[in-house]
Amino acid sequence: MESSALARTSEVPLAQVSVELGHLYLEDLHTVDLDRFFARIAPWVDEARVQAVACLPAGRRPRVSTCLLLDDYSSPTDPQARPTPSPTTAIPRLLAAAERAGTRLDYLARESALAQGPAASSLADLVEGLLVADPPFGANGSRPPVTQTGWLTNGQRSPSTEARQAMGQRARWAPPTENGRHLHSIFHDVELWSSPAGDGTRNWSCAYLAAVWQLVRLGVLRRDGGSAVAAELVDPAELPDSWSALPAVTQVTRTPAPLCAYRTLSVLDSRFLPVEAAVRTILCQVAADPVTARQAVRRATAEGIDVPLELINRISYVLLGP
Amino acid sequence: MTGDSAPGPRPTLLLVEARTTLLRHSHAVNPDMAREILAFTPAASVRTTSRPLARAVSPDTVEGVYCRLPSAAGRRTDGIGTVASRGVLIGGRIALASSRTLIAAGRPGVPARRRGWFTHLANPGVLEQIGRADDDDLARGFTGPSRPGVLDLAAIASRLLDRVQAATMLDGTIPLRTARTRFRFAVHDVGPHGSAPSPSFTIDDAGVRTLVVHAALDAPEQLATLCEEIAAHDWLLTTMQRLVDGLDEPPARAGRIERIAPAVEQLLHLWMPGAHSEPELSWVWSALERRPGFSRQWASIVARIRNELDLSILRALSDGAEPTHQARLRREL
Repeated sequence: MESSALARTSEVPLAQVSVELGHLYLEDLHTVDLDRFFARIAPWVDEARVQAVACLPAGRRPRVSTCLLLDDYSSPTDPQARPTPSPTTAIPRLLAAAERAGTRLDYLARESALAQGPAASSLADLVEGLLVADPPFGANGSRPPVTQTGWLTNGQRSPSTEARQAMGQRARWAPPTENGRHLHSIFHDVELWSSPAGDGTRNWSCAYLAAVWQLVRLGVLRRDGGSAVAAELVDPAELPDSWSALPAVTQVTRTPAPLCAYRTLSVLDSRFLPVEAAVRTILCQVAADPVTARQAVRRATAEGIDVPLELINRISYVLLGP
Repeated sequence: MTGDSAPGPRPTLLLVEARTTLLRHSHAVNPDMAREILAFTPAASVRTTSRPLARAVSPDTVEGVYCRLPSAAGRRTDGIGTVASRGVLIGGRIALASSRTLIAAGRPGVPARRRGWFTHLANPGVLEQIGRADDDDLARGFTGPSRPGVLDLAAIASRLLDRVQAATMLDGTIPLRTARTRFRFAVHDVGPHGSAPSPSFTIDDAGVRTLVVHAALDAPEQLATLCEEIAAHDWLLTTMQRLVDGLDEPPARAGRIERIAPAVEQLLHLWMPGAHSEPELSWVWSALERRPGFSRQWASIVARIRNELDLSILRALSDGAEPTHQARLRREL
């Protein structure tokens, strides 16, 4: 057998839990009291809680890595706003604040890096190729799947009343429906991207990039069968002056557990609840390479840990009020 | 929405549909170009083999379906899940797309119903059956006449083949006229040690080829490869048979060698039954060699072409011409 004839899906190192210590916009680095920010999060990610998330038997120390996603992509552009602090000042402050709260930050990710990359193969593009929309009844393959470009739902949209009015029929509203609903629907319609310039350049939505970030943390993304993202160690003494000069994922501690994990736990401000609901609508329609999904199950089983095959079932949250 | 984990489905029937044609290009493409044509996703790489014959296989593309399943008895049976498809280039010359799905009648201990979509995506290429049609009924429905609204693997495979043919690096020049052939393949599960009745191969009125086989379903990819290989050889037979049958059509004498030449130069060497199938599945090829006798038919086509070339060489010599082209083609046989 020639080696080029074999499907290659590389393995990536996996922690047991990837803990996300919040989500911050770059401007938040000016306005948010970082000590208070981490002090509220830290108790929710102590060993006992993470052990429970990992489904580890009592007494076993979980293998955990921590991360934080900095949104340098969808930040509002306010000309009056102060210039965002540079990584050289902001990152040491973040690390110190986390440490004072009794926790530790291992990886820092930049949201804009998820949308950047060689032509049509950023992580965002990569994930778009994995979307398989939940089909309505009657989808038998005879026509391409009906998609509203740039949007994804968890059901069927209301029929357009304008179209029927234009055809001279009396338009009556019909409700949207959730696929597989139980008695009643909770219908979500999620914007994945917009193209305000009209030239084909995409502005990916915050929800979409947050879904990409979850998939990165679950270690299921591959490029050409190899790992699609690798954290790069940056010495805190040698931080660059601009955010764009930082790697997509910066490793800020010396010997952390791996970035990717069997399960993820995100501790977030409750203002992110709608975003994460949208993330779940997206993740329910991602067909990851089944080989990668099974790698995690197999390796977890070897460690005596239960991990569901379905990606959406590997995700946990703590949502905190303001 | 979530909290819907269940034991995996246990499939008992594999359905595959393959569409085959000549790649829309003036000559065979090299492995690098084949990889470019089939690079449908940046996530996984195109797999290539060079021996004994070049073969390139795209990563799977997955499409969701939720529809009636093809019951020959007309029983109401739905299926929900996904169809996995891939594009294949053989010898840099034959373009093929295959779409496959495993049918599973529910999960152990779990009544069949529509589940959260993510549970279906965790097992791509599987359709969960909701309803009572049995595998025989579904296989007969699949290999029988197609009905509207029912699972349409043919359309999915056809769109993928269109996508292969639309690759921008192809020059669009086709050296000989060929047709797209349709091949349907149904495999009943016999488990790892079950005994298998002989494969049954048929060609229906619409020209659709069907093959029904009993085999273990634990390696559906290998079965898909087998199906693709049989489909490609069936296409070669169909194409060459049409070519030699057409030689006597008017204008009977004119341009016979010109009509034969591209096929001799570009297709004859692609005949290699079983080259890429797993040895465990060679019995399917053996059965097809007995009935309908693939290689017998091929040998008779090659003999016919050889005669044609010999005659043409003799004619040229008696006319005092130098039959270099014919002699070169003759050496290809």
